[in-house]
Amino acid sequence: MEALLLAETGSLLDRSPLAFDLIVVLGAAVAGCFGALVGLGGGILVTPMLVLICGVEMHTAMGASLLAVIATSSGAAATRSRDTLSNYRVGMFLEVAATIGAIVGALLAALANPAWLQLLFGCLLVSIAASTWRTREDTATHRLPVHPISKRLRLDASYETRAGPVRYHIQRPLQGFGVMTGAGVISGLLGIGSGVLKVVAMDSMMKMPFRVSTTTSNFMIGLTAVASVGVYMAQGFVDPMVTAPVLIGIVPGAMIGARLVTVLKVSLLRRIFLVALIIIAVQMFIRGGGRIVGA
Amino acid sequence: MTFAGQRIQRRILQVCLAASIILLLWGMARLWLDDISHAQATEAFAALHSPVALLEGVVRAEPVPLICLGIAVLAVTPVLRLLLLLIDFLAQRDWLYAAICAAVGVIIAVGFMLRLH
Repeated sequence: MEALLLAETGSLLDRSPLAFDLIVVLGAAVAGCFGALVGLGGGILVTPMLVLICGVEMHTAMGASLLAVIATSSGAAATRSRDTLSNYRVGMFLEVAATIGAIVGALLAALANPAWLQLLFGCLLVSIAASTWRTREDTATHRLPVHPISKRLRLDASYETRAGPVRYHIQRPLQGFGVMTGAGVISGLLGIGSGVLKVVAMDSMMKMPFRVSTTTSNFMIGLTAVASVGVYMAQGFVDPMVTAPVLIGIVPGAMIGARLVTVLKVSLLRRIFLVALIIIAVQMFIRGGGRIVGA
Repeated sequence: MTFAGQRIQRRILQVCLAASIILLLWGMARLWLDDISHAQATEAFAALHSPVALLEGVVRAEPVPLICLGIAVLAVTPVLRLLLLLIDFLAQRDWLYAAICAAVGVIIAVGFMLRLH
């Protein structure tokens, strides 16, 4: 309730810049750490934190969140010693669709009412919580047939395991391309990386092994986000004074989370995190809905 | 990507992230020490019309240009990864994926040029 009142009376940044910076640095560090622990990226928590706790305008919060997505994507790549999993051919093939979608989504966001964006964001949080409730395991994809388009585009690959290399065949590449356009639109529209949607498309639809999907998605979200950031910057939705503390917090937070993931028992944290997502979604519904009803 | 390419990529990303965080911290510290309000900082940001104005501000160690450069350095990291991947595909004589990388680069560039009125 206090958060809602804060948001109604203007940004915390205008009233107490130091308090704003401290809250955002700490909040972004926690978001980055938890995001890395449960494999969602920290960007999904940044927008609600800025809007609900600090009273930042929705578009500005989404601009900061997109840059947070870039930070977590590049931060993860900077800490990984050797990458034997990412399928860069699949990633680049799908990025053609995702970047176009991201620009379209960013243009739509510029035209959209912030209250409706908050409602949409609430829906997104609920759907992410639902889709990630169940942890996935790698599926045996090596027995699947070779798809002619995948063969032509040389999308099939293999990855190393303790038992030796495992070959996989990419299924439904064109459908994946279509879904990735949608993931790009959502990324640009709501200022997120859309990593969950990308992983679901690659894992469930294209039958790419789950671990390969997550590392490839991590590479892709940075590129998708940077495509939207251009539009957000041009529209004046990137406020350096809001973005700076987010980035200062989220980079070390994500790096700590990436290291803790091998030490901590993640399954319980994952459940707690997903319940938190639902609570945040409800707050976004209340705030967005309240504005629409009040207008 | 080859392991040599990955090593170069990792090193470049580490340097960019470190540079970005240092610039952001430096700019934020100057904002706090000089007691600059959000309104004043927004005014200073609006005055940054060109990259030259940004760099001149950085040379004078002004807080808002320092923060903006920190954000720009971070924002460019995915594009650097794309560039390295393009070079990697070219080195492998994989013309199709080199062309796809270039196409994604063009799409991103178009995004930076679009502006709604």
